[in-house]
Amino acid sequence: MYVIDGLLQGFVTAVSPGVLPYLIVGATLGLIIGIIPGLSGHFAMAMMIPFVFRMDPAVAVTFILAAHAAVAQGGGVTAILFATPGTGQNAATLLDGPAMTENGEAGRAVGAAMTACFLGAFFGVFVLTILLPILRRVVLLFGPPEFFMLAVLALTFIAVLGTSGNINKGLIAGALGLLLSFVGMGSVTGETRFTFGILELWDGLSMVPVLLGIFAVSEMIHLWVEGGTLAREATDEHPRALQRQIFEGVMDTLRHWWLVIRCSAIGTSMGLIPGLGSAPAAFVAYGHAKQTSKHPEKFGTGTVEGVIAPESANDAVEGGALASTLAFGIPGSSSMAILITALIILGVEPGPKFMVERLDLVFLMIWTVVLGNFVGTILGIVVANPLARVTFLRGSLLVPVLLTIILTGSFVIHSTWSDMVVALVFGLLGYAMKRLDYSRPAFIIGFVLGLMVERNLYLSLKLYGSTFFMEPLSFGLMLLTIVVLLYNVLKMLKGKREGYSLGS
Amino acid sequence: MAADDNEKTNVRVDLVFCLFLIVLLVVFFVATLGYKPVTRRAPLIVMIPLAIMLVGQLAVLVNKIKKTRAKTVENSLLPKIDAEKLRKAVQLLLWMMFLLLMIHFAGHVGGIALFLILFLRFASHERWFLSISLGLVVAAALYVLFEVGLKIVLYPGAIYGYVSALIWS
Repeated sequence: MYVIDGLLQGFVTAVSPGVLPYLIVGATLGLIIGIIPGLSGHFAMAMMIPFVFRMDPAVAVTFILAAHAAVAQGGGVTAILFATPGTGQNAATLLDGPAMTENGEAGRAVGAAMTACFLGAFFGVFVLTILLPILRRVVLLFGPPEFFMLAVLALTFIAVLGTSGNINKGLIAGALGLLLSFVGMGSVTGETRFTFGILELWDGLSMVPVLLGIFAVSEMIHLWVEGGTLAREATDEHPRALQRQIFEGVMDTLRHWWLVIRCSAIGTSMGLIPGLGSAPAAFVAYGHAKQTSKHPEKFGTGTVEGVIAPESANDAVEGGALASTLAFGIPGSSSMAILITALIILGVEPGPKFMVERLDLVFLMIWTVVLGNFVGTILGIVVANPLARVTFLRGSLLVPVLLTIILTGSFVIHSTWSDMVVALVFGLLGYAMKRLDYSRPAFIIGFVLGLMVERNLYLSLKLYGSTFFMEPLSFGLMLLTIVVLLYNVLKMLKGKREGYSLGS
Repeated sequence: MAADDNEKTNVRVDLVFCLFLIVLLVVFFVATLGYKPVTRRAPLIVMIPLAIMLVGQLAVLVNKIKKTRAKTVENSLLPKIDAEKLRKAVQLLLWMMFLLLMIHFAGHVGGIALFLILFLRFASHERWFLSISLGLVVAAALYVLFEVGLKIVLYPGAIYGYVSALIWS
């Protein structure tokens, strides 16, 4: 009963004149930041913290969370239209979004992505509302061995997404990403690794320039080398046609409601597990959609399911991440860590007591995620139209302009010139990987999970010795990893027998 | 025939890339040997399967090239990498390095404006008017967005630092 009362009270607060304007402004800023390559949800939230010191906690939390909620929508728009993920969580959208743009279906992809984002977020907070009382027991089952095995499972999932069914190349890319994540000071001993005397590498390779290099700079090189426009097969440039496409995309998402629910469930469950974040969830959802599809061969060539799956998952993650953050004070993602910081600044401490004493804030947050996503979706659909028209510009104009924005995006996170060099170097690596069919998503996921893998491996060995993987849950995850890998290797060998080869 | 040539080109480039990754792995492996056991544990755990997979990939590629050579004398002459594409890729790489240098010396706003004007005029062959106006508009928009809107100080550049040091001294 208290849930229904709380939801009603939360909704009334969220739409009250004192809060709603902050929600709209926050969501708008989040969308804009999401559109700019390199500026992530963490950046949006961190940027807002200095402005909320004197605000009422309800207003402040709404402002920050609305921005964070809308970031993925902005990132989705640029991932689809420019093959440049505005944020890391939209990286999986690159697998089919840009291909749809190339097929002249940019509007359809954006419409589908925006609707999937909103529905995914709605699903996430719906589950959060229902499961709050029992979440604690589930999350506390996960210790270092389980986290380690989960990371290995996530990487295995990603590797099987390697194009042309080449699992070997997918695994190479994932392992390479993991290896490069170890550059800089070791997370356990503090000893510097693989810096080769370069001072700028002591802090390691920053996530944002690496991501921008692998996905954005490489796309610019590709566009420049191949020539033409981003929308190569576009035929109809009229705004009404684009609006029709957007509407078609919205209807596509509603038609694939079962896929949305399944991928949102994946996102929400992965969001519950602290540290995994939305990027792996989006890739796992994509993998799931591909494996369960009747036409998996169309994935990667511009199918709408390939956009719906990751977009619904990456927003559903927030519901799960918010649950563990609020209930246990354990941040489900780096953005949630910033949210915790903001709450502490405002004099509110998340954790079990928070769930009892500030239930009003919990339900306000739930509504903020829903309404923030709704505002982001509406704005995203409106902004998509002029942005979609930009994709018809010729590459010779777009490449230099986007390059300057991308390099500026890689600079602003740490304000270091060397980050732009990193973006450039990884741009070349990304271009080579794109051309030779090495999975760039696998590389990025390996890179993101590196720190978590090392830390949990260390803790597992310390706590349980070398047989840590025999712990019941981690053993189950290991078995699942082996099954996934074997299934896909056998599938590939079967396919090879029928005509497609391992090395191509 | 063109698709066949393209595939052979890819195999050739793939082989070079695979060799590059193997060299990188060897360099990392040698560096790892100098670290403490705990520091090198995670990298080594990743390196071992990576080495096996790279060697496997190399074997597959070498085998492919051998098969292609065995087919006919004509086919054994693997096509060279598309010269035009390579030229364009190198051209863009040089322009990107130029952009970094411009930002380093002239600062973010000045460097980007200068880069865009020169790139649009000489690489994209746009008219002077479009090159100058687009260059200035984009640089101004980035300044307004980051410096004014988001309060992020963009890189001022070495020249600015040198001039301001002269003025203040």
